[in-house]
Amino acid sequence: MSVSAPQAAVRRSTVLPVLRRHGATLALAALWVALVLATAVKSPAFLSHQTVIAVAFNMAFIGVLVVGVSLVMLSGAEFDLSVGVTAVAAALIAAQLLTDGASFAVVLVAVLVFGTLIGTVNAALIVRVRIHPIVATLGTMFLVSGTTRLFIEFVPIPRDSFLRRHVAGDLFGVPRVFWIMVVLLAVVAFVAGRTRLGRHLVAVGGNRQAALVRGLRPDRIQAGALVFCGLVAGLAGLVLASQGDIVQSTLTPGTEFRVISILLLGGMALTGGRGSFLGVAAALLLLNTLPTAIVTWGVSSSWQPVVEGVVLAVALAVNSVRSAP
Amino acid sequence: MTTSGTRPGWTALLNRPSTTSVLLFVVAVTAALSFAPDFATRANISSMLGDLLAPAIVLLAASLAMTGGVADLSVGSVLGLGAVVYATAYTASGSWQAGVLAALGVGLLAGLTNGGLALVFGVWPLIATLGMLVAARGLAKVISDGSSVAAYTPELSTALKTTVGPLPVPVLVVLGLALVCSALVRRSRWGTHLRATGGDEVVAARAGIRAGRVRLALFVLTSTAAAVAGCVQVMRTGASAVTLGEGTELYVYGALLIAGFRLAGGGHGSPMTAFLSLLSLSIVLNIFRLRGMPLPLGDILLGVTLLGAVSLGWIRQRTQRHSPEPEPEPEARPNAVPA
Repeated sequence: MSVSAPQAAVRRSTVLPVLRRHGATLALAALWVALVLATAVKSPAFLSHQTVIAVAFNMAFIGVLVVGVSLVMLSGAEFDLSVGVTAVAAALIAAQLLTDGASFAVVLVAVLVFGTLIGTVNAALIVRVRIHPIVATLGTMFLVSGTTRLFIEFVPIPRDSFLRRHVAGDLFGVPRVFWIMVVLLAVVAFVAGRTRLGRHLVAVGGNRQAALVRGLRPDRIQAGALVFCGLVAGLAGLVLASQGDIVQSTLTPGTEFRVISILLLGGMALTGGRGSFLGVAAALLLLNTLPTAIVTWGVSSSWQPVVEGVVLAVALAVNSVRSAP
Repeated sequence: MTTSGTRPGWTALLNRPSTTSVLLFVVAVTAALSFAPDFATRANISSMLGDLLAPAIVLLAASLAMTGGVADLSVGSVLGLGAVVYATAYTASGSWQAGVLAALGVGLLAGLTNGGLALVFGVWPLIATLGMLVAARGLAKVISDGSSVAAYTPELSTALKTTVGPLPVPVLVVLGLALVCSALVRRSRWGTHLRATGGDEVVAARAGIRAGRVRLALFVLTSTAAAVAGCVQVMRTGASAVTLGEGTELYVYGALLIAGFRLAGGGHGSPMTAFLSLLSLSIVLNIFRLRGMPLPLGDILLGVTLLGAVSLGWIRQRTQRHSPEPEPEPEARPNAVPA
């Protein structure tokens, strides 16, 4: 499922195509298996049902956001820093609506509309006003998080709501939302790699000028990716709300950086137009298991942000080495 | 006919970034005087300016770095880390000089790491420093164990709080430095090299300027200045909170962008105008505080400032629609996107 702009594809089709194309993905997957085995040997509790549920839930939440941002990155609009707070705000909205007795359908529509709205604001700022994506989404990130905290601090989620009864809970040993994420990832990977829309997206990200000359509309496609990313962030809010009894405005700080690390390590080119969804899936497994594994190894959990920062720096370095011709 | 006669003068005035900064300052002061009666008291002004000291030090270094094309997002985190390291080293050794040295070391290392990542691997500075933004904040939490560290030195605190009228002396010193830097960037040969590096690296290299070296020096300067700002903040207040410096980077870069600096390098701002913009922002925050308004409003202000500041170029271009020069083709931009 790897997608790339034409010139990259030609360069890559040399000897040992499988290893060349998927070598990095295989390495990431192997690293993940080694990490899981080593940690399980050190402490069998690591493979307990409870730990697996916790890790898989985190993976579901982050994974949904990764899917949204992956399209933004492929389209050459770099990334979206506002996804984390958008998801938390959407979760708060969902919880508030459920407390007020709204039906699940209403809640679903509300979070999706909210996410789309934020995505549209981002798209307008980046595509129309031509603000650099990092700065634009950093601005919306502060706007959204400030406004959210101005109105709501935390909301409990009613136990008898549809969300808690049917969306939360497990299927095949992991949370149901995990499977939602897997399906979403597969669909987006298929669309990006196998459809005309996906090829246009990759073409715009790979070479904007060339895409423009061939009659594509880079601005429209990038704006579409950004709006879709907002919509998916709204959905991630629902995933987040399905977890516990309460939604807080201070939940999951630093999500956006985790998302970027996963995409960069997974092989999405920062400049757009190239990336592998299999690689991203492997990086998602590895980077979401790492924090729990580190705690199991006896390192204090306060080291987690340090590790995340280092991982981000390493991911940037690895990415730029891989992007170099 | 009369309106079109005045138009060029208006646009020309609007196009000067210094006008925007002055306008913002006037609006902020007017708002403060009308909405917060306590604003004009001597105690309030000197405490507000005192709190401005650490961001002003960062701003000064960042304005030079930005002229050379280096925008470092990790300054807030490095400021916090510098503060915690200073406080911890001071408590352990008992001498403040050791604390400052330790913090300087940390700033140096952070700058070299950022610069290495950006220059060796060719990552755009703003993105390259995201890792440090997360890691330095995390390290500060690890070192301080998640609580604030006390490090009070009476004589340093008094020295930093000396005032001339309502104006704190250290802030005046930074202001003086900003003045000197403004002049250096504009007039000296060193300033020309700096602006050349920020403008076009290839051209700078052809002119015999080692752009890589200049940029590495700028990374180190920014991080070191941030660490020093952290020390100064702890010296003044006597303790280092874990959250110290959070959001500093946004205020500083917001002020710089209003003042006409550009994230992609070059630009035509001066440190003095940037200082004025920073002052305006802190006046607005001061109004919020005096009126007892909710804290998240500060975050909203940050967001609005940042977006507003980077949209200024676009707004200026829109107001210029009627000018005879042909507009630059929107699609004809190179890979690096101007902010």
